[in-house]
Amino acid sequence: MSQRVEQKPTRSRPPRWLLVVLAACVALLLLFVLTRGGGDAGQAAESGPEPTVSALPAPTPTPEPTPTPAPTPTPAPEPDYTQPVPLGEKVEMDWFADAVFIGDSRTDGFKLYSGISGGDFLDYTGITTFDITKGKKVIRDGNGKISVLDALGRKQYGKVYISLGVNELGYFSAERFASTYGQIIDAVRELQPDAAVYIQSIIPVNTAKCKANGIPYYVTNEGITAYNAALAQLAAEKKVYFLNVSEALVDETGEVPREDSADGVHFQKSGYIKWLDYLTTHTGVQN
Amino acid sequence: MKKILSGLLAAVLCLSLAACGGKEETPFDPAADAKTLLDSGAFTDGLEEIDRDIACTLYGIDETTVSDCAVYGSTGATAEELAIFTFSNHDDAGTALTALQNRVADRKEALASYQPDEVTKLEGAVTQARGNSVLLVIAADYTPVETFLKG
Repeated sequence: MSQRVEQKPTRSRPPRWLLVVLAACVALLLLFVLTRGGGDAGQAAESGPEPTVSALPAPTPTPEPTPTPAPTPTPAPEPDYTQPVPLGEKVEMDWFADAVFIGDSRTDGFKLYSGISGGDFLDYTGITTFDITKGKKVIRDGNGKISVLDALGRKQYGKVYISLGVNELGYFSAERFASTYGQIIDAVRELQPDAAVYIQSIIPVNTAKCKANGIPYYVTNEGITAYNAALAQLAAEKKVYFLNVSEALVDETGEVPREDSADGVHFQKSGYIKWLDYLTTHTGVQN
Repeated sequence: MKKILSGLLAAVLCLSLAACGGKEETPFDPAADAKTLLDSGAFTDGLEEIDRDIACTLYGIDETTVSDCAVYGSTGATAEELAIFTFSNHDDAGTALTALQNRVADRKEALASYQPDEVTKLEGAVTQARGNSVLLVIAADYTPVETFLKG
């Protein structure tokens, strides 16, 4: 009995290596197509959409309105601290509402007789830069006393005005005076990081009245000039305002006129008024 | 006779005390008394008037408690000073008197090395309360001040 074995027709299979080559070609082709597509997209992004040619043009998307860029605030140019604060627009008395004044007996007179309203005063007759850096306790605090810098640290101010130096004449060199003054500026900056710091020139004296009132011989306008030069340099180094208040009170000879001077060193009310007027017109604020 | 003399003496003493007591309780008049003292020759410095708000800050007196005042000071040449305050009650006057005494103490300390000649004036400083008012005088010559106080 013959058994019929159904045999499947045999097909000649392609060799395996050919399949591998074909697969590689397909992969390369795909890779090429994809790469081209991406490249075109990038190019389109750079050069804008190419015009499409078609019978019915696709609706052009309404371009979104370009937001108007917010005006970039122009940073105020840094003041020129190498020069004294120039004459500017006069400010009202409320300018001093956030100010504190540090100084000696001249600042005390300024507080009492200039007509200033507002502002705090940390002044003491006869005080020097050295007293302040050493922490001498001179500011009344209830039944006790605290130092100027301790008192300064109790409140934040917008402006710190300093007027010192006439009591240091004859005791120290201009360099040592400026060095100690610089320590005070550093301390003020640390305690009042947001405040504008103004150092005021030492106002000259009336020599004749000084002699008549027994003011010490070393209190001279020559000494004051040397100290003021050191202060101007210090202001530039420390980047603080230098107020040449002296120019508001001296006459053409460089002296405080007799009528504005009390005892040679301190002023009459008229002198303190001139001082305040100078501060209201020399703020460093640029219009 | 002895009894009559004793009685008379007691009566005179009582009258004197009453007169003194009455005077002490009459408050100072800021404007009028300041003028009297300024014109009395007690001061050698030409004192300048100090505004009320600044004066209150100077002495550490609560301005809201002050009814009236007259304050004059030196512009820096001397320690001379004149201040008269009136208040609505004794307590505020008492607080102010302490403030004026503190002021004298502070000035003594400050001027000891700065203007030692002026300390003498501070040594004789007058601080006095009368009724609801207080007085401070730092003068060069206290004779006219005593005359004023005796009235």
